[in-house]
Amino acid sequence: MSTHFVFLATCLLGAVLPTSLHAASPQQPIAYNHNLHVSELEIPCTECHIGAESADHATLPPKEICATCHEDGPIGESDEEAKLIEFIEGPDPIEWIRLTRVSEHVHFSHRRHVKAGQLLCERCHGQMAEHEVPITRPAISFRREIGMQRCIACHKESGNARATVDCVLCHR
Amino acid sequence: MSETTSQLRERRWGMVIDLDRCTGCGACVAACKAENNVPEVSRRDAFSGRVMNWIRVAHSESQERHGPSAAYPILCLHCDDPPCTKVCPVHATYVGVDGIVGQTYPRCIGCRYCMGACPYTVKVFNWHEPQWESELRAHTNPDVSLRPKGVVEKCTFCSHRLQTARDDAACESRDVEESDYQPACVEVCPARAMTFGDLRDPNSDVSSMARSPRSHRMLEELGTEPSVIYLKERERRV
Repeated sequence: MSTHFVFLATCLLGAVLPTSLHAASPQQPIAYNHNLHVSELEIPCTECHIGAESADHATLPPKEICATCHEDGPIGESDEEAKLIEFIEGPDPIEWIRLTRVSEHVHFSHRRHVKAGQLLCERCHGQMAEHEVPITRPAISFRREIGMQRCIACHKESGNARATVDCVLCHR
Repeated sequence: MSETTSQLRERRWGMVIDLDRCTGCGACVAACKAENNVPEVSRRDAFSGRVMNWIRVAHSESQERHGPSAAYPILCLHCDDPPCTKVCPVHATYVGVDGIVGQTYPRCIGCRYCMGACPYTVKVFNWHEPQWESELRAHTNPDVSLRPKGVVEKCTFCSHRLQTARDDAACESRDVEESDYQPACVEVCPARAMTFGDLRDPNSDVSSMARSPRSHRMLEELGTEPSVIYLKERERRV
């Protein structure tokens, strides 16, 4: 009797858990194809993430940036592009879901790393250019893969004299 | 050591406060609070001596009847040989490459040894979570953290401004110049009583003022070698 109960409970959990996990994963308003834009069309990351070279935050692109290429109507036949055109023509902004976050106590300046340090985006964000559909969790987690140890190791290896390991350089 | 690191280490940021010019107006105190997200405290805490300020203006009364009182701004003196860093068990406070005594809040365990060791009593403890009036909360400086309850904080010479100046300079492939970086208190002082710059540069304004016969350091006999230098008041006739 108890064996049957455990078996049934496991089956039920197996059926419910993936659904709930799927529901928790963020759904971007448009299934943006990084592979098409970055790998095939060779658009640099900083063309859309405009803050990466000039500010602390790289920023997620507002629809005005998309409109610079897509304003005159659809370029292809994708349903996702049709959604984009609707956004561009409509009053609503595109509410991209931000996945990558650094901890509250860390001050990370994109400008410092991308512009001054000439660091490639994939060093921290992984191979975003390979993704044809939006990722549902950060390509590289700042909690797991990128801890303080990795920051310090990179600063020491960089050979850049400005990349010191002074605590207040990164800790707010 | 590469050239730039060597240049960084040769810098020693410091401040000269001319007490002859200081009127004790408190603009530096207000600017510091706004710039560094230093929270207000309740009336009860204020009466308990738990006022949160990174810079305060002490007033000394004249010994003479009707004599002038003197204002004396006191902030972290960023000592070259600071007693506070020696007692910190977790390396949360340390002397940085530019001579700025840094305070790393995420590391601080709130033991307050550094507060006890500091002879200038310029470190303050967060007894509560930071609180502001609703409108002021929206105007906190995003470059500076909101320190949580249970950590010690103090003046950092607005080191977040130095980081921005360093980034600006690095993007323009040049070194940080004195004019790129000023703490908020120096910037707002209406009497121009505060001067900030590189004490290791013999041609800087702070260096020449530090060599003045009027100059002195607070509790000089302790040998902490502060980076904040005061210019003594001249004799005043009433």
